Amino acid sequence: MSDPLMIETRALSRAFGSQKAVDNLDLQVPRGSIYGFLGPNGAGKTTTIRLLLGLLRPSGGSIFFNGEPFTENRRRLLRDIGALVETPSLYHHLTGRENLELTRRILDLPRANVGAALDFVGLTSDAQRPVRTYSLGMRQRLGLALAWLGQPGLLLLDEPANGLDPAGIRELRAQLRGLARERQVTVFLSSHVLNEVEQIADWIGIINRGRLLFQGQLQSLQQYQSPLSVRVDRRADASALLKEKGFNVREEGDDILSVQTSSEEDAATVNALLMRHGIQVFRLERRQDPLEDIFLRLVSGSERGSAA
Amino acid sequence: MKEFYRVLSAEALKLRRTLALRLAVVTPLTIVILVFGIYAQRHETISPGANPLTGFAQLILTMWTIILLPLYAALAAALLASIEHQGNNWMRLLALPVSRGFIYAAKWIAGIALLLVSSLVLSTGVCAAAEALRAIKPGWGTMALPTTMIFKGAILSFCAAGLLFSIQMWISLRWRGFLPGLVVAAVALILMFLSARGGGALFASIFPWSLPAMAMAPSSPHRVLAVTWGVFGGAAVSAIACFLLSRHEFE
Repeated sequence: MSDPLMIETRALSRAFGSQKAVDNLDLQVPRGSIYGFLGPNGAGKTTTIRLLLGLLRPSGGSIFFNGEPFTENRRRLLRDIGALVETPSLYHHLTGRENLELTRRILDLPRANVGAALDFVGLTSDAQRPVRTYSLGMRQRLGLALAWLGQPGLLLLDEPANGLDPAGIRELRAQLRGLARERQVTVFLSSHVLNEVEQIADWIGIINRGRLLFQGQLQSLQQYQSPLSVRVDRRADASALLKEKGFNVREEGDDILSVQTSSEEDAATVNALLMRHGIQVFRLERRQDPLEDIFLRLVSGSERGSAA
Repeated sequence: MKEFYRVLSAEALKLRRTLALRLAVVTPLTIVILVFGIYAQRHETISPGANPLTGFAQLILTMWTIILLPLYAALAAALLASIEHQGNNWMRLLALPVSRGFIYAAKWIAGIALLLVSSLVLSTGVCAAAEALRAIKPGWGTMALPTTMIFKGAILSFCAAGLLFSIQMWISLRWRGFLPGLVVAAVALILMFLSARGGGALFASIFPWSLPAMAMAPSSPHRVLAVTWGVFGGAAVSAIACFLLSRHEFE
């Protein structure tokens, strides 16, 4: 039997009045992965995380962690989940250590976990200061320490790099990668900062208007969503031919076509088609579009679709 | 039960350095010091058989139960709830693997504990101030200290405040900000004064905000009713509120 997914949602939906914030979401997050959950503001990322934590009740669908239904086992399953939702939830009149101690008491964790969590985020030397004196980045790091306090198997992080300086972001990336590789911790992080996700995530989910537009490995997203760049001798003929066969073609430069394909087989089809019609192909390559371009293409495509 | 103790212990930690905790000491001491100052300067003749220390204690207890205790209960409830509202801490707290009912119940107990602390500070403060008056006022040194009356009045009014505190706590936890809770307290106090002028003794013994005053007065015919209603009404309201709040979604 295959390893159950760390997170699986089936047709998960949540509406606020007539507004669907999450619409038939089928998430599949493999264990030990770093899953980047991308979407523009208001796409439904935070609502999804709140649903996953049981802070909101779904209007429809179901959630499974490790193959177990969440609704029936909420408290037991939450023991293995650490979360940072939106801005870190902190008690500003307490010190950093007291904030961790408070959660430690509730979760009945060993005292050593407080020191370990402070160490993990590099706040040990500032632990005795009241949180109200912390900078935004320090608060964010304390929020991460709270999420990691119970050393859970799953971290749900909503915009975890908010307020961190470049060095802090790099450190966070290294820490999360380390957790995933060495401890098999699954990290589900939502963000609208594509560059950040591109550098850390190995799985990607793209959401817009509550609907999942893509889900899969980052590599395959870049592979299949990036267009083919084809250099030919008769650009106009080649363009007409490919358009006739249903390909989305854009002419670039004097002899280059940009062809949108959805699989690796399409590249072979394009090549064979052009050769069969006597068009010489000098170069056929798949450009690795940055995630940002792919993301914007998917999001604008879905918006055109819903407007139509 | 162990889980509830853990949540309660976390709630106790949250009280550190809070205004709610400071006010539990400052509020009763303020009224004690004020009345002590007035008595210390006043020159009066003592009627035979009268104990001016009883009048001193009763004046403080009356002011406490009619105005300060209801106001402090409203303020303590709002301050305790604001600890969670301000930092959006509900998000984190309610996503923890503990019973939501326990989280709210612990908040209630923290508030009740603050009221108890303030009542004990008041009683101790009144006794200490009365002792000081005996020492500085000529002819008062032989007067008996009405310790039982002071502690009994403060503790009974604390018990009777259970219902009004539960209502205030429910409002403060359900709605963000200080305004809803304080507006309810202000309106309730006005109603209480209006009913007192109208002479509605029965109304006063069931109206939550006048229960502490009814429970404090030794001559009150509805003292037992006020205390019973305050304790059991408070328990019932808090149980209903905890149940409803634990089903509430923080959108």
